[in-house]
Order: sequence, then C-alpha cells, then structure tokens
Amino acid sequence: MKAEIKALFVKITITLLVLFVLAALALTYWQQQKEIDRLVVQKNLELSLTAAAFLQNLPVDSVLSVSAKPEAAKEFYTHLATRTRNFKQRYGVPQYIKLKIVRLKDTISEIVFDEGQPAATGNAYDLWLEMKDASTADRETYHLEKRNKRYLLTAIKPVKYRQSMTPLLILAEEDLSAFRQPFWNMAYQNGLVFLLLFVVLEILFYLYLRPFGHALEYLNESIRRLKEGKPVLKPEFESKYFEEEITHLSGLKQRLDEVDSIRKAREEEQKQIKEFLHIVTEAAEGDFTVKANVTADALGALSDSFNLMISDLSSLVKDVKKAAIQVATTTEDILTNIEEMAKGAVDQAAQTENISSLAKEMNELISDTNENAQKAAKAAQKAMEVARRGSETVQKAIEGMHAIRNAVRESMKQVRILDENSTQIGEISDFIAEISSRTNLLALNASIEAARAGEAGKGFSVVAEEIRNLAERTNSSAEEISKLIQAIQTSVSLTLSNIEKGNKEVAEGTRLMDSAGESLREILETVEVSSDSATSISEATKHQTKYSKQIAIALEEITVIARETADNAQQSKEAAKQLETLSKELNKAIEKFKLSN
Amino acid sequence: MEDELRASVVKIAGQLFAIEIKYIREILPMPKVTRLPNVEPQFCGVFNLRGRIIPLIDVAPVLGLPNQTLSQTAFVAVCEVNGRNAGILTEKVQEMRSIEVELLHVPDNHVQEKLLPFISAVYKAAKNEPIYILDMGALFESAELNKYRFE
Repeated sequence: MKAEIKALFVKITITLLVLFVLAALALTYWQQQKEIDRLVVQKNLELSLTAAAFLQNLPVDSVLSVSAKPEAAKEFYTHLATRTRNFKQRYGVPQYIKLKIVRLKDTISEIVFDEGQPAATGNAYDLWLEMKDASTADRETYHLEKRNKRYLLTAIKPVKYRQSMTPLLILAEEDLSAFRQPFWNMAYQNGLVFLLLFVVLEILFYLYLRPFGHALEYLNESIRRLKEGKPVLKPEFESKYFEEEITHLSGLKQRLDEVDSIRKAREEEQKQIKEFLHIVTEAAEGDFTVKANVTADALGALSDSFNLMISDLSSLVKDVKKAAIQVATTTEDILTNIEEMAKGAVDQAAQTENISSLAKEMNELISDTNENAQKAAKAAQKAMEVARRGSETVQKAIEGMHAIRNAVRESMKQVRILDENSTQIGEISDFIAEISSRTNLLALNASIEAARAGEAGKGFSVVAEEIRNLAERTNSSAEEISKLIQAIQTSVSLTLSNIEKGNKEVAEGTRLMDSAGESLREILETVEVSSDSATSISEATKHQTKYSKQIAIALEEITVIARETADNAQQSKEAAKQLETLSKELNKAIEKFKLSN
Repeated sequence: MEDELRASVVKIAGQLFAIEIKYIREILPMPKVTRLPNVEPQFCGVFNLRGRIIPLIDVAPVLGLPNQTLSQTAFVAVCEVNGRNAGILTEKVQEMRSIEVELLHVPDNHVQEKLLPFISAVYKAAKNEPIYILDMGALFESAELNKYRFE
C-alpha cells in the first residue's frame, strides 16, 4: 500500500483510538454522575428517617436552654453524645451517618452539637441559606456537596418545639463516596468495550482501504508513466474506485502528446525570440546596422516592423547627429560672440570709468573756470577804467600829432624844392660827364688813328693824349660833382625820406592814435563784453557744475550697467558653456550609435 | 720785336685782355645792334658804323668765359684783322698803355685750356691782375668765328 494511505490509516487509527478513549472516559464520568444521583435518591430516605428518629429522641428544651448558656455546655454535650450513641445503637443506625445540631443565628449558623467532632461546638457552620429556607418553610431539605473527593449528602430538618419553630436544625450527613464504584474500574470496563469496538472498526476500515490503495497505486503508476511519456497500462484488477479517473487517463495521454508538440513548437518560437532579442539588444546598445530575420510567421512580421523601425531610427539619429553638430557649431559661435560681448562690456566699463574720471577732472576745471571768470570780471572792470583814461590821453596825443604834421608838411615842401634843384644840378653834371667821356673816347680813337698813321701821327698822338688827360680830369671833376650831387641828393632824399618817414610816422602815429582810440573803444566794448561774458561764464559754470554732477551720476549708472552687462555676459557665457557641455554630451551620446551609410 | 707793346686793355667777361693797337680801328660805346636769327652765341648781331655793316662778336664763349650781355654801358672795339672787320664786345675799355716786352711770359698752367690757343702771352705786373695778350690772328682764324663768312 502507498505510504500516504498507510499514513492516513495510521492517522485515522490514532484519531479513532483517542476518540474512543475519550468516549470511554466521558461515559465513565456520565455513569458516575448517574450513580451519584441514584445514591442520593437512595440515601435521602435513610437520612430523613434517621433525622426524624433522632428528633424524637432529642430533649429539645434542654438543648435550647443549653445552647443559650454555653458555660454548661461541656457536661451536657458529653451527655448528649452518650445519648446519641445509644440512639444509634438502638435503632441500628450505621456509623457512617453523622448527626449534627445547628443553631441558626441572624447571619450565621452555629454548631450546637457535632457527633463526629464534639469540640466543634460553637463553631460557625455553612448552609445558612438552606437552613434558613428550611426553617422558614418548615420543610425538610437536602444538600449535596463535593468536598475533597467526598460527596457529602446532608438532610436538613428544622426543629419544632411545642408547635413553634426553633432556631435549631438537625443535620444528618453521609459520605456517598464510600458507595461509589472507583472511577478507574469503571473506566477500565468501558475501555475494554470500546477497545473491542475499535478493533472491529479497524479491521473493517482496513478491508475497505486496501482496494482504494491499490487503485491509487495504479493511478500513481499511470501518472508516472504518463509523465515519462510511456503509455498507460491496463489495471490488473477490477476497481470500483476511480473508474472515471481511469477513463480520464487515456484522454490525458492524448492531451499530453498535444501539449508536448505544442511545447516543442513553443521552444522553437523561444529560440527565434531569443535571436530576435539578441538583435534588439544590439540595436539598443547603439548598433543600428543589424537586421532581423524576416520569416513567414507573426514573429517575422515583428522582425519586419523592427527593421523598419530601426531604419527610421537610423535616419532620425543621422538627422539628430547633423543637428547636434550644428548646435555645437552654433554654440561655439555664441560663445565667441559672448566672449566678444563680455570683452566689449569690460571695455565699456573701463571706458566709462575713464569718462568718469575725465568728468571729475572736468568738474574741477569748471570750478577753476568759475574762479577765473570772476577774476576776469574784476580785471575787466579795472581794464575799463584804464581804457577810459587811455582814451583821454589818446585824444591829447592826436591833437599834438596834427600840429606836428602841419610843421612837417611845411619843411617837406622846402626840401622838395631843394631836391629838385639838386637834381637839376645832377643832370647838368651828368651831361658834363657824358661830354667828357665822349671826349675821352674821341681822344682814344684819335690816338688809335695816330698810331695807325705811324710817324706822322706822333705829334697828334701827344695832343690826343693831352686831350685824353683833360678829358679824364674833367671826367673826374664831373664825377666828383656828381658824387657830391649824389651825396646831396642822397642826404636830401634821406631827409625827404626821413621827413616822409616822419610824416608817415606822424600819419602812422595819428592812425595809431586813432586806432588806439578805436582800440580803446573796442577794448572798452570788449571789456564790457568780457565782463558780461565773465558773469555769464560764471553762471554757465554753475549750471555746468550741476550738469557735470548729473553726468557723473549718469556715468556711475552706466558703469553699474556695464558691470551688470559684463556679469550678464559672464552668466550667458556660463549658460553657453553649459549649452556647449550639453551639446558635447549630446554628441557623445549620439556617437555610440553605429549607423549604416 | 719792339721792347714795348702798345695795346688797349679791355675787360671781357671780367677778365683783362690786351688788344694790340695795330688791330684796333675804333672804340665806341654800345651801338644799336640788329640781332640775327639762328646764329651761335658768339655772334651778337650787326651794327651800322657810318654806313658800313659790322658784325658784333662776343669772344667770351670762344675763350671759355661766360657770355656777356649787350648792355648800354658796354663798349665795342672795332678790330680789323687781315682785312676783316668785326666788333669785339667788351664790358669796359680800361686804358691804352704800353707794355714792356720783357715782362711778358708764356701762359702757364694757371691759364684755362680754352684760352690757350688765343693767348699769345701773359702780362703780370706785381699785385695787379694778369692781362692776357689776345692773339687776334688766331682768334679771327678760329673755327668758331669762321662759321659765317664776313668781310
């Protein structure tokens, strides 16, 4: 039999065993309870009768009075004990019945007399409620209590004296446990019965389980064969169990064959898919030159689509590459431009600083100009004064000049006359010189002729020589005269020219005076103008100061702006550098794609 | 040869020359000169002397001296050499003098090249300017003066 079946069998056996044991114990317990009830019923009567008989024999009044006076108790109680003993002997009350007299107080019950324990007199007792009940209703009650493996049955009878209820009650107590059968004896008996039952069941169970096990083994074997791919064998036995399942087995074999072929087809597919995956992985890593095999099935369609996609991607990436290169170029340009801009901004800032310092200098110059203008105004005032005085002087001088000019004109007239005369003399003397030179020449020619004449002309040549000498002397005299005349003329002309010069000078002087006067007037005007100008310069420089201050402020602002521009340019440069980095990254990222060209 | 030479000392182009008196016919102040076209610079033109047409010659370029100008203070020495008459343009006629032959000497290396063929001797008195004695014959026979025929 199969191990599982065996295990099942064992499990069920153990379960059944346990169940039966528990059942036996439960049954025993139930039987014991029933027994108690039976005993109670049985013994109740005995106790009741005993209690009634004891009551009859009891000196109730003495008990009542003694119980109120505990000092006299001991003696009485001994007496009571003897009485009780006698009573019991007489009536044949078995020893196992214990008698008690209990007094009912308000809230507790007190032992008046206890046969078993004489010293217990005065002790508190239990069962107040039952006793109260019995006393009130004048009724006999019973109380069953399990205490320490003892079943105590107590009959409670209220004591009546002279038709009235006393607080006393009589209790007859008995231990039922003595009459009971021991638990384990009963259990043992029950157990045997159950064991028998168990064995029978086991045998039956085994008999039913065995064919089940066989059938299961057959199924197991068949399934194992099916798993290994072998055909299923026919069962060796007639089995009632798993008939349906056995018929299912053959169907299962068919199915398995189908599944096998499907699996093979699947494997083939998987291989194709793996190949495809390999190609796709390569493409994913950037190699766009791969091409997937296109077959006739769904995967082939997928491969075809994939190829299409890759070629599209390839062209896309090419475009991106181109664009990336352009971006890189443009970024370089931008960087260059920004560099220039930054440089220009820096230059601008420097220039503005320059201008700023120049403006400051200009400011100083303006204030200097202001001072100078004021000085100039003062000087102009003075100049005006001086010019006025000069004008007066000039007037006087002009009058003097006029007088001089008149005198000079007179002397000039005389000198001219002198000049004319001397010129005439000169002309005459020139004439004389001319004559003498001609004479000289004639004498020369004469001597020449005389030389040509030879001897005859010797006397003539002497004469000629004398004439020449005379002529020479005349010539020299004439020259002297001429010289003298020249000298006179020179001095005359000199005088004349001096006079002329003097005249000219006077005229010049007059002119100068006039022009001086004019100049002074002009100076006056100019000085007035200058004074006005100085004042307006002063005003203007005040304005200028204001404006130049404004200029300075504006320049400061420009400097700030220029610096900001420079900063912005710097930021733009960094942004452009970032862009460059990004474009480099883009290029790098694109590089890894292998494209077919 | 006589022991003294009678010559007329003239200044031509700043240099003193002596023209023997036997060659001189006449000395006159600058006359009215009619210029001639297309002639060389030594021919200054022609002038009318008592009805005769005499050529005016400036010997300065022939002697290698700077050309003279026709100024009114210039003099013309009319010379007759071998029957030919010409006026020699001079700046000034200095004097008529007798020159001792002993004091003449041969032109030395101080004299310029061009002058040499036309100088017969040099007269140098102490501290005075040297006077070159013009050789009128050579001058009138020279190629420069014979470019144009004249009588």
